[in-house]
Amino acid sequence: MNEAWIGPVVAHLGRGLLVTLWISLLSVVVATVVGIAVGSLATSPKPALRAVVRGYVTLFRGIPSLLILLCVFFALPQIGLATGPLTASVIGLGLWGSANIAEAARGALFSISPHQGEAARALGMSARATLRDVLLPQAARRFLPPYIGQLTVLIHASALTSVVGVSDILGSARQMIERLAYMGPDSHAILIYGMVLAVFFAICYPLTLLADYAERRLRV
Amino acid sequence: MTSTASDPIVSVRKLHKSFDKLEVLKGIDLDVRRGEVVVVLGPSGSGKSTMLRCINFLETFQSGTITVDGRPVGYEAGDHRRPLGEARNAKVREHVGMVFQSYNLFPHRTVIENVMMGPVKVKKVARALAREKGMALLAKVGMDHKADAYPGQLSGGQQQRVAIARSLAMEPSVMLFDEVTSALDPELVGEVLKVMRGLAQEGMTMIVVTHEMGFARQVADRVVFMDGGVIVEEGAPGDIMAAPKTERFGNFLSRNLDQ
Ligand SMILES: Nc1ncnc2c1ncn2[C@@H]1O[C@H](COP(=O)(O)OP(=O)(O)OP(=O)(O)O)[C@@H](O)[C@H]1O
Ligand SMILES: [Mg+2]
Repeated sequence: MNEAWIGPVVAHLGRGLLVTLWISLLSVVVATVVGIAVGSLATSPKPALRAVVRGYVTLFRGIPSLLILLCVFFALPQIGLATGPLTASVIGLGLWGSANIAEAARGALFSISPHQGEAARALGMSARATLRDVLLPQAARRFLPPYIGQLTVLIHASALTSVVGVSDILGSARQMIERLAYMGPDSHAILIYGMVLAVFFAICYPLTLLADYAERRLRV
Repeated sequence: MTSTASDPIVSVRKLHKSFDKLEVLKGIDLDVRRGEVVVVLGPSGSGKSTMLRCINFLETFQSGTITVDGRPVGYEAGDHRRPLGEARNAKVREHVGMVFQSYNLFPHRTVIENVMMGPVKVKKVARALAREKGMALLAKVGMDHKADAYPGQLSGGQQQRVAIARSLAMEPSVMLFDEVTSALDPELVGEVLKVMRGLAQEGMTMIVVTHEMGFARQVADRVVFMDGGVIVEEGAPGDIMAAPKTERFGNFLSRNLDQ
């Protein structure tokens, strides 16, 4: 049996993996920044602002991530914003992920009873100290488990970007399989997809463990 | 500032407080002298909690004045009634301890860390000293054996005793208690009341909102009966609880007789 195909395939998948990691990282950053900002706005005393936040979260959580990717990729050039597939993917995944992260941040902040803030202020603590030493530590604990969970979801979703032409690890795998199928009798599809699967598992499983750990630590 | 035993620690004058259109306090006058224990009785919705919350400015108020230890609460003294600002409100709150019905301990901190929080974060006391003083306070409320436990691991009565220690750690001029035994199982009420009784005996100035008639009768220097946002009747418990002057207080007492 000829094993010569393996070398080039692994090299190509490796390049794809770098793209996957890069897209995941960028969209996680976008989703985290936008998500926490939007989620915090939900605590605003202004009802109009809260309604906007609610609308944003409901809208993006209600649409499949693939659809958002396609919309961003094809719609942005229509309004004069030429974007490459990578930028479009980061924007699309980032917006989509930010809605779930906003919801997690909002939930964490609202889960802290207002009595906690009152108890701190009754001790004479300043507004800043109340936020820093009483409210945020408690909110962070509740935010962390769903947040880490969302990270794995975002990394999974990065596999969709091959649809808009990104050569991520899944896109690279498909390119190699098509090439092998053209050249010889066996495309090795099962083995190659198996490698992709193993890579995603190796990235996301530790995150799942981390989320579980954070979840358990939460119950003090 | 020199003070004598007759100086009021808390002085409330013509206090009016509304939530939107609903007027909840309709002109409250109350002086509490150093070392005095004032028990506030009254039906639900009469404004007892709101009055306490005004005293440490957890609530704003529309008119009237409050002073604690001679310091104005919430607004500049004088005719201008400018808000004091958050920093000065915090300063006043250092001198007013408050214990809540729902304990409100910080669940992410251990018992001793809860007690140290005020001294360390507000008064910038060194941690070692704050811990030492905190342990002494925990011993006083019978909770030193749980210093390293988290609040979630304690019974309601235990949590409430820690909450009292947490307030005492700031060495307040006056302690406010808002129905601190109402959320407790009946068998846990006694241990908290015992701590409060001890504080009263040591001469702590206290304003206590409670439905515990026995505590009012035995511990209060003065009982204040509120209804509909006004003080209807006040006096020594031996006098007014035995012979209420108003029908409203009489009815209230007979409704709560079983306690
Ligand atoms: N934040 C608020 N917003 C609007 N109304 C309020 C608020 N807090 C209290 N009230 C109203 O003010 C009135 C007095 O409430 P308060 O809590 O002071 O009564 P209370 O005497 O402490 O009663 P209870 O014995 O039930 O604790 C009630 O009618 C209550 O509904
Ligand atoms: Mg009340």
